[in-house]
Amino acid sequence: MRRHRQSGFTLAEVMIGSAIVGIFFLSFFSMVGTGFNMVKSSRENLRATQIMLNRMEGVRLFNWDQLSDASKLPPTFVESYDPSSTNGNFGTAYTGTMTVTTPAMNPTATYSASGVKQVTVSLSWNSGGINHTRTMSTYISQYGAQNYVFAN
Amino acid sequence: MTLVELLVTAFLSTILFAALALLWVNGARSVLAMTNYTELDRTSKYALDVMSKDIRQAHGMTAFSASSVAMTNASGVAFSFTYNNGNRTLTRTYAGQSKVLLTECDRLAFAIFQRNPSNNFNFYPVTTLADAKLLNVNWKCSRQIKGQKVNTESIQTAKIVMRN
Repeated sequence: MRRHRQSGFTLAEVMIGSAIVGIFFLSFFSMVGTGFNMVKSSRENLRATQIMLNRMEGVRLFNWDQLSDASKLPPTFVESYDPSSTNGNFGTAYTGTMTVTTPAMNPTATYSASGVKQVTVSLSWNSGGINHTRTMSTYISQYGAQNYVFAN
Repeated sequence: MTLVELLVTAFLSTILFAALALLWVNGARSVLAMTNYTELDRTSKYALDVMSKDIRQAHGMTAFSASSVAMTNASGVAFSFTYNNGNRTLTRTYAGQSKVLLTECDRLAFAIFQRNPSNNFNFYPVTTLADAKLLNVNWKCSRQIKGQKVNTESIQTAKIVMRN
């Protein structure tokens, strides 16, 4: 009786094939994981921007003296990702600072050098073991833009 | 191939294909979650832009509740934003024309405050509509993926000052 040789894969071929398939799946799920991290980072950044904008918007209602009132405008504050959460999970905690300073203007404002203040909101939070910081800044004039324009 | 070899091969193949199917489903769910969030975020940003523009230009507030706010602009044209909890939508009505700004909105709440700030960056609540100067709005939209809300929420909060 004549015996036929059975063709198949060698151990080396199987191992190489398995390694390639393994690398493919590792890459695929690494990519998905990276995508999730990017989305998470994007959401936290967006929320940070909202918090800073809310602060800047609220500052519009302060008069000149109130800008220097630490009881109304506390220099530090804490916010959360979802402050209105109904299940007690408020998400990432943001620690913020809000400073009001007299900036050095260049050129110097002619009507009053001390009539301009710089409001700066800084936020920091930790996500995935990495510290993040964002800052937003604006100028506020004691007499508003119109006085500045018409005085010159 | 013997019967034993055939059974072992079939068993291993079943495990392999089950693992592949699981990986595929999870991968597809992940991509769907990211796509959903991006879409929700886009619509939320658009809604907030429209609301901010309208409310900043408002001349005065004519009606208010936690789910609805009505105003007029400088020309006397009436407009409103109304949240419908039942069908999870936020509708903008401007000069009689209605348009749904948000869908799949789980919760949305308005709050209004006076001009004067109180302590700790808070503002005094409004007793009469004429005193309303600051509007706070927050909402959360979400979509489900196979019955689960996983990474598909978009949360927005905003303080908007009426420039009247």
